[in-house]
Amino acid sequence: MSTLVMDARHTSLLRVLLVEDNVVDAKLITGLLRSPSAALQCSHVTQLAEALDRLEVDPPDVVLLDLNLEDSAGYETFYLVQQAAASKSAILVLSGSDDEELAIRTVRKGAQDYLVKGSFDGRLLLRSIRYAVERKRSEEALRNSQETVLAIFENSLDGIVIFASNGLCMEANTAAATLVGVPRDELIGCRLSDFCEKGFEGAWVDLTQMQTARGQLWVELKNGARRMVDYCFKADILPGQHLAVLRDITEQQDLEEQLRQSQKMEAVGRLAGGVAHDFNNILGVISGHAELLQLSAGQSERIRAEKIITATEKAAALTHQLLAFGRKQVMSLKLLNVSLIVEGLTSMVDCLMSPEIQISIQACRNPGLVRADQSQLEQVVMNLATNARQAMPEGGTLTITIDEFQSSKDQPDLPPGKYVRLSVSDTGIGMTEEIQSRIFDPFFTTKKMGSGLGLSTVYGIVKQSGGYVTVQSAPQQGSTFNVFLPVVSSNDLELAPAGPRKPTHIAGNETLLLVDSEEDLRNAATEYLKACGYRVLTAGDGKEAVEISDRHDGAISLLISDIVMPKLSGRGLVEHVRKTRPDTSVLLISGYTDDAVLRHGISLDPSCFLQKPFTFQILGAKVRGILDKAIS
Amino acid sequence: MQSNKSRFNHLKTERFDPGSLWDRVDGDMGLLRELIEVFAEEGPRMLARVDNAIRNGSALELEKASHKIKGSVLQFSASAAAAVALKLEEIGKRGIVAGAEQLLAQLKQEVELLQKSLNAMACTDTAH
Repeated sequence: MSTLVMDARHTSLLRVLLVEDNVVDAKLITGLLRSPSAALQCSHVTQLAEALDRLEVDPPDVVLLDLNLEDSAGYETFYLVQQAAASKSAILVLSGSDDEELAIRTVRKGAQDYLVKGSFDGRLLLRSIRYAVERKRSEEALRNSQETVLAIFENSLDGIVIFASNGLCMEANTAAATLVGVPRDELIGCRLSDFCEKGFEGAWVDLTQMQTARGQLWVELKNGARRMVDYCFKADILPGQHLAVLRDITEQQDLEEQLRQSQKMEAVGRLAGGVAHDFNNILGVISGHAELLQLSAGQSERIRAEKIITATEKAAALTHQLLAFGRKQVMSLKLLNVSLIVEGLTSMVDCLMSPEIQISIQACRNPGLVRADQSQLEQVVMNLATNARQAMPEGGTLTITIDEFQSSKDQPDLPPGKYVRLSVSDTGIGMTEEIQSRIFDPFFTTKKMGSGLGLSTVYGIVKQSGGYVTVQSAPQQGSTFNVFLPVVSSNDLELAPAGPRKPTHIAGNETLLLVDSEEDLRNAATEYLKACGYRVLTAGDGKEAVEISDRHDGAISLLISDIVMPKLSGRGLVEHVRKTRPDTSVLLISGYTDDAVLRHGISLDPSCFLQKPFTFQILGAKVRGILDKAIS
Repeated sequence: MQSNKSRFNHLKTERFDPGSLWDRVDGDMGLLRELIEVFAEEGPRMLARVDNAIRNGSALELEKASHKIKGSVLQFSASAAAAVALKLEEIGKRGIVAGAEQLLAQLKQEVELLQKSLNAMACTDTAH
């Protein structure tokens, strides 16, 4: 290919400027160059000043320069012409002096050749001119290439380092210096292993033997921080010179880790949501039968049934937590008295602690009310208590305090205002500041078997409730977690039901169509609703429900249907019933959240939805409420 | 070209190498004649410049003028003339002009001989 380029260049005329004040010499040279085969266009000036003007206005490809002119002599002539020609023209010196020293000096400073008058003929002159042009072009290409490489080297976002065979850094760019955290001049003369984790010295030997290699290494900065670096190594780019390109991938690694964690959370969440759904159905059967028992049993059995119902409610709260974990839970915000919530959890906290742990609960009787989800708040208390127990393997004291707290402007982490402060303190092993700074990170744990989710869940719930959580701790001096929940004006007193429930019997005599694929739950609910006086038609799936509805001659006041069912979904059933029985009201029930209603595209008043598990009292109240509303 | 070159053998002396000159002009008799013509005009001027430099006692001018004529006679492959011109140039370079008259006389003689040889060369038939 280079031959083709040469040929192509030779077809265009080379422009030559002859700077010569000797008329005979000028005549000879212009005569030698005028041959058509020379493919040259020669112009002639006799003085330096003239030559400099030409070079500035219209630089030729080649300058044939006699050094001794009327207005200049010797090396100075060359120097001035060379300055004017810059990198644009090749310079060929013609001299009447066979001066070796001058010849070397001019060639070293950029002359392409030094020809002594009387020692060259036409062929030699032409060849010298062509070689001079080619050399000049090659030099120009080389210079451009060097400048390009230098620009890439200086401006690369990746660290680029040239190492000698002995492993010492010969050259490094700014990015490399930034990566290892030292000034560039300090990096020169260092070894890569000076900045890497121990054991890299051996790796360097392997690298130089492998010729090319890619991999990852840890760079350790002076301040103790570590950077994960992707490297690409090429040995002997020049004899005894090895190239290493280094890319800091620490942030990329962190992001990938976050993505992995988030995908893990998503997967666990989906699993948890699915388990919670099935579990809710089972809990519905248990609590339903317990309620039926309450309706017919004596006093002592009723108390036992009540305990079963309470236990199923706690189990339901657990499934709520699973749903919350899977971000599928809808918060049920209510005004709550934190002291009462903690009081209700006393026995559970007691069970949670080992015998060596003393429990002290100091609850202000009537702190302000907070707006929160009761089961979530219970989860906060339980998670903090669990954390405290794990911090006291040798025993100690767990102190739970609830009081009111007025935040002032001096507290940077807590906006001014009135809060209920829930403090959970232990006298355990405590934490260093570094651990404290990461304690709320998901999956961060100091325990062998810990999930790393307990405190991050606390953090999430507290933030979701508009509150704040802080930690105070020191190694071997225990820890105190303070949860601050903003106090809500007590005008709206929608307190959560507390204390044992009383069985209620909400009667009716309308005809209901109950559709649920869970047979046990369906049968129990049917029994309860019948006990309330209703006439109950039942179906195990949507298709069967359609058939029953179509066959039934009388009115059906209310359709109670699950959403996710085999054969025909709740949506299909609701659409059919609305078409064929426009007067029939609808109550949907589901083990999923009310999001499921939206997801299945059913247009429904949110009040006509019940999330499983529910007590039959709530079902009864809901049924009666919808029927009464329809009548009115 | 080689055969043409040999035609000048009878002109070759210790002072002058016509074969080398013929090579230098690439066997171009037209160019050679042009050069001889120019030298016929310029040669005396160059010598006069050297003469003036000596008369005026200007060593620098002597160096420059001698260098100039040296370049030209070198192109004509006139080694003896070039050697005398070089001596004159070196005298000038040393900053003196004393003793230059004798060398100038020698140079004039060499240039005269060169011109005769050149004229003979120009008249040589190279067509065969």
